Amino acid sequence: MKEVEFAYRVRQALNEGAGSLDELTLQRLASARATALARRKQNPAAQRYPIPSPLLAFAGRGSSLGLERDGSSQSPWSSWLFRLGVAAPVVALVVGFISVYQWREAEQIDELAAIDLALLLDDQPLSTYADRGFGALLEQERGL
Amino acid sequence: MATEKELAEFLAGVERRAFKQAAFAVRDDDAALDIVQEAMIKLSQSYGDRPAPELPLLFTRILQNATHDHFRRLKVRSSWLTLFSQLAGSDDDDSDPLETLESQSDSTAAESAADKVEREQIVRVIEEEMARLPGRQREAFVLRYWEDLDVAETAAAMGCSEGSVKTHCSRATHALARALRGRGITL
Repeated sequence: MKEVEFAYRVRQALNEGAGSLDELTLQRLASARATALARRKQNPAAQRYPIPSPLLAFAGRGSSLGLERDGSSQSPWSSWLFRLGVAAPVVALVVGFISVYQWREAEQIDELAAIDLALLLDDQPLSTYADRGFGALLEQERGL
Repeated sequence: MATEKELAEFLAGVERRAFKQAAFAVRDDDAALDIVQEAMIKLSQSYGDRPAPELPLLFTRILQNATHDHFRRLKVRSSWLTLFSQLAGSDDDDSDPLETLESQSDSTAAESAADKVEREQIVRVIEEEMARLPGRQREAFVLRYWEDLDVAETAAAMGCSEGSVKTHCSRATHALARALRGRGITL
């Protein structure tokens, strides 16, 4: 019981402290409240004909990125556009990477195949290709 | 569904306490204001269509999350900065605790200027000691005794058992009483 009584007195002190905030803090709180109310979630029935507003849609979207865990839901069209805007470049990037990778791989296979073919068709022994002088001779011939 | 007027009245009613709670936790008024604004916007954006009686618990939870997010961001940005801000926050204690010893007047209506100053000093000391309590203890104490939530609601808001809430509240009360006694204040 003593604990509750003590807590009650602390509570009174805390209320006094909260009641004597300086003017600047109160103004900032009022401004925060006004901002929050301006972004208030509307009843879906009242949003049947939403007014497209890129600025508001972007602002809401941007600041609600961290709200997913709260189960918040935005208006469907702005959410759809946002997801498409993020997904399209990512998909294009992934497709691009895969294409470049496959092209490089095909090129390497072609090069290896050409070397294998040259080795198989050539009557020179394999050890000559390890010889520096022979390599220089080939380079010289290619230059000619 | 809460009307805009109900939501506005609710926010106006809780904003000061919310600011103080955030300030106790982060010990930085600017950061506390940011946290309160973030919590208000989240409530309004995500739960503005909920019935008015649900708003207090929702806001309490959102405010806690916003405070935790603030610490998470600070930690990610720089751990030493957090330490520095805590040290800086505890350095501004320039009140003389002995001056608050004799101020026990219950009547605030006919307070003299001197009584008022003393009372303000006591309030400031209590706020400082609140800020020094361990986070979970302070959270439990504030929700239970300042926000007037019952044990079950406090447990739900804190995501712990009712037994833990009772333990946190009891420890907070004793720690606070001990700290205030140490500074010459008996409530």
